[in-house]
Amino acid sequence: MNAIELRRELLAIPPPDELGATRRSWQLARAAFDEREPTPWPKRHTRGLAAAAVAIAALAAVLSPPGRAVIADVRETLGTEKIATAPQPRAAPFTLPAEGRVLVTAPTGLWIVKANGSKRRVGDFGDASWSAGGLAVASTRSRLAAFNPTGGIRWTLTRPRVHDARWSSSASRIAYLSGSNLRVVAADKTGDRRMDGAADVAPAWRPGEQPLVAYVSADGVLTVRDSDTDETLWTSGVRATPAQLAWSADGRRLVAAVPLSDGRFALTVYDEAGRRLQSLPLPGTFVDAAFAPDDHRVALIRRQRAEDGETSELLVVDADSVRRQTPVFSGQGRFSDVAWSPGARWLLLGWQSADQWLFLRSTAVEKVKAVSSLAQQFDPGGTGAGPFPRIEGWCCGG
Amino acid sequence: MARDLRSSPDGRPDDQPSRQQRSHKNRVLAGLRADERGWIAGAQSGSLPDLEALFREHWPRAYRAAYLVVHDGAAAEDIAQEAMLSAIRTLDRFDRRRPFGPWLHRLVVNRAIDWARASALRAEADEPALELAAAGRAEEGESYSQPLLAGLGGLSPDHRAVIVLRHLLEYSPREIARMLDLPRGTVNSRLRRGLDRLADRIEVDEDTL
Repeated sequence: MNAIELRRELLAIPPPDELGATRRSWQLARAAFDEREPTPWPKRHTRGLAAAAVAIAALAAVLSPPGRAVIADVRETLGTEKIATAPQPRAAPFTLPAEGRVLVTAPTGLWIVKANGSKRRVGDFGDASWSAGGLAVASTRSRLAAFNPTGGIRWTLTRPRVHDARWSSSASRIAYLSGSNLRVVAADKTGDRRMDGAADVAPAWRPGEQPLVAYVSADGVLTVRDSDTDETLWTSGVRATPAQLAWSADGRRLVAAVPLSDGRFALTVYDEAGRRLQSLPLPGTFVDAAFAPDDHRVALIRRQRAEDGETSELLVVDADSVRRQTPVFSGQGRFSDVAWSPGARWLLLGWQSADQWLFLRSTAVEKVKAVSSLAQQFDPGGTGAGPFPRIEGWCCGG
Repeated sequence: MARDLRSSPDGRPDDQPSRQQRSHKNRVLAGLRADERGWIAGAQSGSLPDLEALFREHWPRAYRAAYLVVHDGAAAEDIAQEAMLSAIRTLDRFDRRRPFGPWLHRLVVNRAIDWARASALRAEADEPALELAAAGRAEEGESYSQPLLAGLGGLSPDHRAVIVLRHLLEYSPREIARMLDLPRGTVNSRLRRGLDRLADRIEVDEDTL
């Protein structure tokens, strides 16, 4: 085999799933291209412009007195390139009532909404979440993507059927589900490994220094395990696979929302050592829950059948005493999801049936701010058809 | 066969490419450069079709090169993809008088070497082994691809990288030395040793067909 034959043979080796890899990579390349802010033309050509300007100025100055006028023109040219700036964001149709950024998945992809209402499409991702410090992680069907603080993709990882990725509180690790496996990868993409078989519920990292992740194992056991040492801290049997797991911000309470067979669900509260503190059955279907960022309050959405259709209710429940419940808002149809603002002064409620977001002052419910035609907000120029945009989180910082 | 692999058909040393095997620089200057400059300029101005043309020109070789170095499809996809994303993000600063390919291939191959070294340290040999077997099956009975892939798998990442850069991407040893930040003599010796070992492996594998 000579060198030409060797090249021919190297070209004949088929890389796995070349077409699929090309299609996935083109999608990401396109998203990266869309999100970049092009350098203004004058800035890109600064060197060329400056050289041309110097040459013209020198020539004009040598040839005639009107050269001074040319020099003035050149100054003007160089001056304008300093003025050029990046394009301004488009006019905001609404603003957030508090600081931070909201992460949204819509049929058109993943979006970040800033406090001033400007929206930025980040790419074609189907589910996402924030870290405590404002880093996003998102997934498509076959790809996990970690983002840097400015919203650019830091890295991606190809794995089958990826979903429900979550950053640890220190933003040093990501836990995610790949098919029926729980996997963990470091923030720099190293050490990706399978931790355990897992049920289809998002893992939840316990806030704190130790990398402890709560998940439901493939055989339906609620488990809290150290992702570094693989040591299991505690386990607890659950009647059915919880719809959601959530830790309080101080890591002292874990709430599991467990569907029951009789049209009810149970809100079960554990302490950090795995002791079951309380379990309260509630009528209706569990929809979503979120711990307040500063205490043990849980915002909870449930849906119930009524004579004239469905009603949904947003409650705030005290995880230290689950019987202590404060109804916040109820309405016809379906609420989809809820998120606390940084600082816990506002609740953001997705009202799918009304095609609205509601911002509710968590401490004074009479203060309500509505954003309508919500689906269209995330489908510029389109009809807003398709599933209602999902609120993935409201995080810290601008 | 070992003799053939180590030298060109006309017997010249391997760092002096034949007319058919010109350096990347010469080839791109011959024809591709004009199109490529247009695509880069277009993409810098925000043209998606130009970006797509650039992607279609360079992605397949980048992905193949990464795969031949790391021997893991998912990792190769990640490596080539990250290099491509990195290139796109910095496209505005790219000097379009220079060829795009070497810039991209430098990113890809260096990342692939890092990944393969780290992977060897972690001894994650199970998944690549599976892919090695799967990747070659289409060629069984009709080409060298399967034993060649297995033979490459038996080399170190450094040897695989120089062979891929030289014989797949057709860079000259001087260009490879610049890309990998190595002395030219080191590139030549890695090429010689890599091809020696590859020749032995291919002979063995050929007998098994």
